Amino acid sequence: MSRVKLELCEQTLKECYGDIVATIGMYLLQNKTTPLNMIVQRTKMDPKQVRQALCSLIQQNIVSFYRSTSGFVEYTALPDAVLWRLRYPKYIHCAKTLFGDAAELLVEELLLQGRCTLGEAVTKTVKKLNESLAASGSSVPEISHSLIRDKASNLVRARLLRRCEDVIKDKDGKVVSMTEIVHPELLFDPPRGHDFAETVSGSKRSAAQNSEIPLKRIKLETGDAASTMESEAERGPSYWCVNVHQFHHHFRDQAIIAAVARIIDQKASEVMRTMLRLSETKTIPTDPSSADLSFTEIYNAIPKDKIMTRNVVDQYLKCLSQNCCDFVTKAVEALSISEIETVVLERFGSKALRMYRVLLAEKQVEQKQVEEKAMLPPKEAKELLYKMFAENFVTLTELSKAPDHAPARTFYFFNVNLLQVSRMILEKCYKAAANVMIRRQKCILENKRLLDKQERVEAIISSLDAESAAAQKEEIEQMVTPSERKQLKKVEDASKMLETSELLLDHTIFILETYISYTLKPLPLSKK
Amino acid sequence: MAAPMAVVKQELSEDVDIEAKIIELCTLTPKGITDDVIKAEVPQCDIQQRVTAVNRLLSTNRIELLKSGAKLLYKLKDPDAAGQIKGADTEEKVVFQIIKDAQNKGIWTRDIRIKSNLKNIQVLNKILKNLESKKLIKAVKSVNASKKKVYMLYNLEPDQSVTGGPWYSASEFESEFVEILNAQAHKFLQQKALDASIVHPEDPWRKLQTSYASAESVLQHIKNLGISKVDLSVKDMESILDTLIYDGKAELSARTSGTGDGGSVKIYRNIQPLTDTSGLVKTPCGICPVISRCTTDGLISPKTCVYMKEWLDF
Repeated sequence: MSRVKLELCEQTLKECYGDIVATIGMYLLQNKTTPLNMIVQRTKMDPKQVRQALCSLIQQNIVSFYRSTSGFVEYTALPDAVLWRLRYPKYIHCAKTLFGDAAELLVEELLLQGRCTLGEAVTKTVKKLNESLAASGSSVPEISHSLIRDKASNLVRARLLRRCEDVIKDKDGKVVSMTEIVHPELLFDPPRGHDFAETVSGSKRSAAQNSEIPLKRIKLETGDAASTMESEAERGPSYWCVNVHQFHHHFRDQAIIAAVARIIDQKASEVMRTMLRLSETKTIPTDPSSADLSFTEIYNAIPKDKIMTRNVVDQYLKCLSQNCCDFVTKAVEALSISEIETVVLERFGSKALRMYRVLLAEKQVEQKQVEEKAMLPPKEAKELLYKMFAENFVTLTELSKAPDHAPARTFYFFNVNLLQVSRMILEKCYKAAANVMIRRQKCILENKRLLDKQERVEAIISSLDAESAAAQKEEIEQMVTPSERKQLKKVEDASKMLETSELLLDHTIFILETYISYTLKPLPLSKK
Repeated sequence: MAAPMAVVKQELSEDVDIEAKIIELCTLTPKGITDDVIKAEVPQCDIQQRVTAVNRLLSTNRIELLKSGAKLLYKLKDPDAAGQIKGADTEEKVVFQIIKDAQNKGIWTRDIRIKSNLKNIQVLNKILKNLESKKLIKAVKSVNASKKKVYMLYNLEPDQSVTGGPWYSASEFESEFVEILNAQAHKFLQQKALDASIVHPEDPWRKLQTSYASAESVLQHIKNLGISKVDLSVKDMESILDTLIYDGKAELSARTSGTGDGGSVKIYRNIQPLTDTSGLVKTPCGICPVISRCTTDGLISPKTCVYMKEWLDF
């Protein structure tokens, strides 16, 4: 992991969970697997605080723990999980667009809690929804528990929620390790009645569990999944969390669909969406290509409100398969190349982009050929090409005719190493995201006094509202001077802009990370 | 005394006959004739006479001697060239000949020096100046190396490799011209795509097909606009369209040419970039020149960054 990525993790941890948790988290991120004693010793912090910090990190699914061979419980931090924190707004928005408001609140609750029982999440969601209904004063009847429960089941079925990994306890009932995932399907086992139980009845649960453990172990060894689940029913509700991978899968599909809309048209993207949705459940997420679909399947699955005849669908499929920019075959690569190209365009200008694409298309090109193909004046081309070379966007291969490597007898080929450039840009994205965060915090810190004042004034005004004392209200509003107001507006705009760019940066990070992970694993392990 | 005189006279007239015959043969076959041809056509003369005749013709610059494989070829010399160079000394003649042989590709001074064996640069320069002032040769700047001057005959049009084709004028690359053609071609393809979506709104396959344009149709459009003073070929147009592909504004496909020989024509279509501008370059960090030296608490830091300040203040 790079220093820049660590820096971004640090900023994220600090912002979300405070300094103490950030210190512990950073220590774990820097040092891989470590037992508790070591953390206490090295960070020189109060053991109690360390314990609490670890607890919250585990709760947020950032730290996992296992019993090592020597018998210690060791803790490991997952750097990617920290960075997923940046994507929370996106997950929530995605859940909203897919399954509506209730799903939005459910996912939000689970994200904020890290992990909790479904019952808890459902109760809170129902409460929130009814509160907002009451506030808006609509006459819609109260939302019932069962409705939200169904929603939650739907989310699980769509694999947006999953069960958390189970824990293994030793003889004394102490939790020592997380179970390794043996059957991934078990995580998506639909919730049963007991999963919605409102509170975790502690005493009952532990009592049931103690007797259960030996039995369960034996069963796991025999691999009998069904009976394991049954035994779990007696253990009370299990913990659930958000399955970010399914969300990522969805984001990837969204990006592909958007790109199709750009190269063909809106309706073609609709066809693509249908295909991706159909293959979603059939394909293993890490597979390089999606499952084969028949025409009838696609045609029948296209939503009825998008009026399309058989013929039109057939033609669109033809368009998609014929499109020669081979986008459909290598969608993720095309997307990440496109991201890189926009970076080149903004950094070096359109002429440089033209040369860059020459390099991408022709693979190994001599400087003179680049000039000719891109039809640029040699002087300008040289300058831009060497600038890109200096900033590592292009690489150079030397091929000498003679063993002495004399420049006169050597070919110099320029080329682009996509993986390397993606990594470099990814690093820059991490850096930029960290910078944006730092800047935002600084911006807020500098104007802390003003912001506090505004908050106080608003609090007073809202408390006055009930008494509807208009004159008094105005008087208090006057407490914030026009210049202060101006400054507040500026701060607000700035932080809004910084937050937006954080989200945009994350999109680029997402595309590039997906591309890198796909290219690095040409043959992923099939999860059977 | 009379007899030998008569013999000489006869010989002389015979020599002239042979010379005339050789000239005639040479004009009939401008590619040049071999010794055997002369022998067959002028059977009355012996080898001695032939040699003297040929030598005389060579010395008066009316024919030239070329080597083709193992054989010698006699070829008629350009009469004007011989005329033009009249009054010049041998050195000038040699240099002129070398320049003439280089044809419209031109020849570099150093190469002339090597070929002519004129060791003295000043002498050579003087000769070249002389010839230039007589408007027999001219100097042309090469595009390949801007400082390299090549010489060729005055009345010749320089070769594409010297001038660089339609994209160069006065050995300067005309980037504006290329940019204008590029923009116009892009506009044409855009229009084509727009038309296609209006004509076939419900027929995606035909819509896609009609949005493609071949290089010839783009060229025709450019010609109709009358932007170009130069006569452009389809190949030139293709290289312009290729720049559009490299700009990411067009994509290439192929269609069978329809002539039945299995050949295909290149067709082009306007496309949009796949993604929006990346989030990275929407922040100042994406285009920051000193990002590699940026640290949290350093001299260059996001807390004090001027680019950030400007960006947020706009």
